[in-house]
Amino acid sequence: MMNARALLRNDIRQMLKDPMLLASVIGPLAVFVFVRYLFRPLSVWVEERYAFDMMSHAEFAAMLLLTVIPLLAGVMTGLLMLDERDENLIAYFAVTPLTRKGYYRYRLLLPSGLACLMSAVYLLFGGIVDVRVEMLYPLLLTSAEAPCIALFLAAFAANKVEGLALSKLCGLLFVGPVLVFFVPGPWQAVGIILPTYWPSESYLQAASGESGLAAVTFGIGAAYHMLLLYIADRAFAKRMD
Amino acid sequence: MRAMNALIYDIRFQFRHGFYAVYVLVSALYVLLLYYVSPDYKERTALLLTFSDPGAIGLILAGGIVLLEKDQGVHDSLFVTPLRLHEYLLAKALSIAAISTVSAWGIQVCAIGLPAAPVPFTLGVLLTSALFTLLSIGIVARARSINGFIWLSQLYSLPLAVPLLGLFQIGPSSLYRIFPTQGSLVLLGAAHEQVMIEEYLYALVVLSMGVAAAYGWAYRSFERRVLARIGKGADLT
Repeated sequence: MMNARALLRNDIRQMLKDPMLLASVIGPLAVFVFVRYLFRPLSVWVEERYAFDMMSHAEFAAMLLLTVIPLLAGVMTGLLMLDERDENLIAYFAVTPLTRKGYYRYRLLLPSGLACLMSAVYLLFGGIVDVRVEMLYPLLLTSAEAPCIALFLAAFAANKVEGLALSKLCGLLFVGPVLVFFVPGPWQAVGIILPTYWPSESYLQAASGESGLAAVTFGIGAAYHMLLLYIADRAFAKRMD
Repeated sequence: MRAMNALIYDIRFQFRHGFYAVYVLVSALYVLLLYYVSPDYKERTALLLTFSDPGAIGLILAGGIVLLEKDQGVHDSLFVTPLRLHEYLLAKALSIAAISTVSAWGIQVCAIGLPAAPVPFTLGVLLTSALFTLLSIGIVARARSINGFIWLSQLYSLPLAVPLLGLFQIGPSSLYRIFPTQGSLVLLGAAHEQVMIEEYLYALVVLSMGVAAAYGWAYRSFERRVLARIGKGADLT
């Protein structure tokens, strides 16, 4: 615990020196400010100019933007881990009392905690969709995505260049909410392999009053996220050994 | 000959690290997305996507490559060979422009059809890609970590995104004409609409001037901040 605290102190110092770490906090805050203060005026402007009602797609916008928060935290952490691996820093951490396991645990808990906190602020105070207890479903599921993304990058990229290339693929995660809100019935089945499908689907079901179904969807989504986390963790451990 | 070897090496490096595979998937995703976009907005969306992704691919990737080379101390041995800095920069810009061009053509042909004016469209992709690649190299010379670089690259490239406002008829269009990326939008837009010859010339001149300025800046930055430190070993700061 004390060792992780030293790393946390170092990260806070780094955060002030390394603007990207700061962006992991500022990025989600910017998403929140956009939704809270700019979304409504923008939708009025778009409706006047292009006769397109953005507010009728507010739930979709809320879920799409929610995807950004763990994506930012996850990609940032994954690239940081690759940077530290490229510079052989992980080998140094491994021989300190922190140990290699402690290092990974710390690296993954920080983005998950940040993503969870920022997502909660965003969902509770965003103000474009009604607050309901079932918002816990997308909140918990998206928080699990940050460590998945970080581990995925660190496990499958040989270095930071491959990490950057793979982070482009993370853009695929935006397809999840699009499928849930816009693609008709049977084609939605394509989305079940995307982790971001499950938070949007459980939220949409809860919003349509299907609470039982939403809970089942959340359960399946949670199991799927755990499975992905396990696979990414195994792949990462294998690469490190 | 040296420049050609450097270019072939860079293309091989990018292929080996999965850039081409990733861009096949990303381009396929864009084609799928455009399939669902209403015909009224399809061409404008395609223009926006081509500019911001295959066009600007070098902004992140070029910097990532240079940062890895810095960490591995590649420059120490590379620049004791007869390879000149301008050949190195040219190889980086051309190799990344090759991915941009293949991806932009793939998206255009699969989602909309053959571009109305193929030569201006291709020149638009090549020059836009070179502009962002050279900008990225200038930025990465100032960065120490990958995350710091990504943040700086967003900051430095923000002014280049200003002409996109013109696509949505925001602000006076004459204001955007001083930005090199306004030239990119004109040339890429030639895929879908007829453009007057004077407009082509304006776009080529303003974009080429932007590329030349970015080249000068990248050259100077690399020379002062990377080459000047050669001999001090891998940059582990």
